[in-house]
Amino acid sequence: MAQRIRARLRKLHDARFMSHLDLRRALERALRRAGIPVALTQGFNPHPRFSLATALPVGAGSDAEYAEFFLEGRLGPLEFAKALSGSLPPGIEVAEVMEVPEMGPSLEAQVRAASYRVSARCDETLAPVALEKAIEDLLSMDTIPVRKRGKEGRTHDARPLMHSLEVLSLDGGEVTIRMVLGVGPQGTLRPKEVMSLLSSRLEDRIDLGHIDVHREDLLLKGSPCKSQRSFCSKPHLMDAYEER
Amino acid sequence: MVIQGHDRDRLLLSVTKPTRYLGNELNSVHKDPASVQVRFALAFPDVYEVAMSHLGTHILYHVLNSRPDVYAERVFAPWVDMEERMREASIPLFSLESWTKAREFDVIGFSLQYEMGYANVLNMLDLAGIPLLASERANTDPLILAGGPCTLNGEPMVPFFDAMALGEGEGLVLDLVDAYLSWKQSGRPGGRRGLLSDLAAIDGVYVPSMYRVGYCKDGRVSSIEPGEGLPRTVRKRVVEDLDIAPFPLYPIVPNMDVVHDRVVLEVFRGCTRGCRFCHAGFTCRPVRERSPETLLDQARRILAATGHDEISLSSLSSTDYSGIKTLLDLLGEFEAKGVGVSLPSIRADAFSLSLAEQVRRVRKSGLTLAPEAGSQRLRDVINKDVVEADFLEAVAQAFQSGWNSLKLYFMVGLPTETGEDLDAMVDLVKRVREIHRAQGQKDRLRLTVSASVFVPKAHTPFQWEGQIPLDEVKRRQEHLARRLRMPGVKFSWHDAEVSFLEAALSRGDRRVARAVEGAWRRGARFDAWTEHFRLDRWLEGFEEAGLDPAFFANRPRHYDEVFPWDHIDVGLSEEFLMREHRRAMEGQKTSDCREEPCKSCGVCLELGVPMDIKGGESTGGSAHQGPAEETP
Repeated sequence: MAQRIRARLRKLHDARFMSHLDLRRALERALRRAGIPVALTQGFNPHPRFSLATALPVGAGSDAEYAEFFLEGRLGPLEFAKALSGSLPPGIEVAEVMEVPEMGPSLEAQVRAASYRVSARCDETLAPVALEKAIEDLLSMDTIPVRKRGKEGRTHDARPLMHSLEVLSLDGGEVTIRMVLGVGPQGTLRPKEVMSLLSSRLEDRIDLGHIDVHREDLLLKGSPCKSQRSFCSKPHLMDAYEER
Repeated sequence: MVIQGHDRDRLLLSVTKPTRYLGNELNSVHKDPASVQVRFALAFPDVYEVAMSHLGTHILYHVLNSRPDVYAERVFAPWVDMEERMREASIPLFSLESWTKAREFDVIGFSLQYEMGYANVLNMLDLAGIPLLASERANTDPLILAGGPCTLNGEPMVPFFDAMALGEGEGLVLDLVDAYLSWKQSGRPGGRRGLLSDLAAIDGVYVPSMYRVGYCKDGRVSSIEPGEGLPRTVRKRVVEDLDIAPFPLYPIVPNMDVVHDRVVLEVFRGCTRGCRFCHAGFTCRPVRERSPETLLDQARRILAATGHDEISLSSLSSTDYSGIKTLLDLLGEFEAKGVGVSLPSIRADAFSLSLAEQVRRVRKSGLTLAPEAGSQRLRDVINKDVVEADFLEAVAQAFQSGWNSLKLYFMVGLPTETGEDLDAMVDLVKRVREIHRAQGQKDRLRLTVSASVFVPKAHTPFQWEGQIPLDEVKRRQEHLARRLRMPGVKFSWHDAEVSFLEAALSRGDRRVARAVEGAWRRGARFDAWTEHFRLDRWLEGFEEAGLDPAFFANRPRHYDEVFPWDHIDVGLSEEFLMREHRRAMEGQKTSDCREEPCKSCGVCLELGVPMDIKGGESTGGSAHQGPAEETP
């Protein structure tokens, strides 16, 4: 009997600089070191069978790297968490683990939105009122065309992917904003794109050169788990998300 | 720390692949600097991915850090984008583990693996803020050492190093640390000069500044004179018993994709084949094997400590390992966990092919065979023990077993090579295609034919040979490229200009150091990377030094010439190398050293370390009693 285990991982400190592929590789190795009986993929080059919900840019930290592991034998979620925790490289931690029914949509297909804490340097003259006004303006628009990444000349609408924006702090030339943005098959909006939209409404007073992104949580929809319609630990994220 | 907090984050986010610089990998060692006596930087003059694939660095890291009074950290060449940021922000070269300034270390030991890393050594010293020339360093500067194969003729680099460690480093590096420590603890008697005298007394340590080199009018070396009380020659060090030699069982696990991303088992050192072009084949003698039991134990522990999914059997010719069948059977225990075994390159015979078939059960990989030369005549000249019939049989067997992708390695410009030899190479490739066609294989054949350029190396029978001129190399490469334009065949060749420079540097004398410095000042670095290599910088460097690179690269030498490396002793007798050179010119093969009688190369007797065959399936090593003339 196989088993599907979902885990929420954290990516902190220097582990933030690991790319998505690096994280995959690190997890593969951690699984082997831990002796966790992960199923292997079929084919030319067998690999441990697990998936990651969605990629983060290099440099971004996270409290919400969701992964699902397919095990060959049975192992309680707690045991799994213990074994994996003891084998992860520095900076990667297990936050939460649960068993999910083996059948059901893939993790990638369930991702809907993410909550980020985003910081950037800004002009010291930037007033809270101006920032709040810019956010209000942005959210009151019906459509916000933004250029598609990698596809010249084509745009997509960022507005339905912008679920909420909230100023957490604005002090000493640094601004921190919490944003809930769409991620997944329905479309993805990146924190940097939102910062850029805001900055352009603020006479470029936000420095887009170095944006510090931390993913707080991820909203998964259509979770096969009956007790929770959505798998999400932050109420604000569920509140902010609305199906459009 | 050279930089921390937000500034460090910003620096890391401004470069490609920041994981190169973090130094926090699993199994990396972090000690309290205040608790140690000696801080040792293991420097590798190339980027992280290459450096981390070098087994020797892992071994020395383990050996040094096993001592509580020593803290060894890694210092690698920052990639060009990082170098730019560092120079802009005046950030000096730093260690990965603690981001400590390289110049604050007691000792910096560079690994010299290939000539194309020379400019990077100078660049790293410059980034560290350490004077390039050993003669210009103050008592407060770190001791700058070199080790690795290039030190066996390190003359083009000697002015930049205080001392060079010759041969295998496991025991040697600890002797160096001990000497440094006792000098430091007794109040640094005699300053830097005093330290160098202490180091020169260690077996295997070469202090270049204590040897004087004289030159003839025509530029050849006339004499090499040791300083007072020093031996005429410095002999390389070797480890006697590989089974008890230290080996890293908790190697660092890189967070990013590196060149060799797997468990490396070193099955043996040395090689008994005696291919006459091969530097390692002559300078890494004698053959010493690890036992299959030791290797299995190491594999179990390293897999548990790293979580890798592949084991690579490393040596100069792993299918020659006497216990290869036993070992592969033992390593079969990891198969169920999806851990595969790889044999980097195999001999072109049926036995080796059956081994390759065995290991591909877990992970399918391509097959690489190295006939080296197209004709039997030329293979006899270079003493490459491949017979065409065996080779073609192995190829046929490989196709039948389902391999459709095959890599063939050749060399261009070998001594005595003619147009006929090149045609023979083309014919051999054609024969391989015909075999594939005759078998009626469904899948298309993918044949990669790769041709490197012959570079004559010190301490080999071809050290007296000249490399053919650059234009001629290019002409032969173009000829082959034209003739090998056929469906299913991809021909790739090594950059002729890089090979020319390699030839000039590998047999250069110490005057060449000025050319190295000149090239570096003109921007040379990462010369092993095609996108960064430019020959003109080097030609200008040579010109400025008043030297002609062709003098070192292309000139055939006489038997009575004094070589710049004559004072470096790898255990080989000069008579043996000359005999092998003459036999090559006569097209005479010399049999494998494991077969009787002993070829009297001199290594076992000179070094006092016999050949050590542990696998138990060998035909038996020879007694190495005395010289036994080969009967042609």
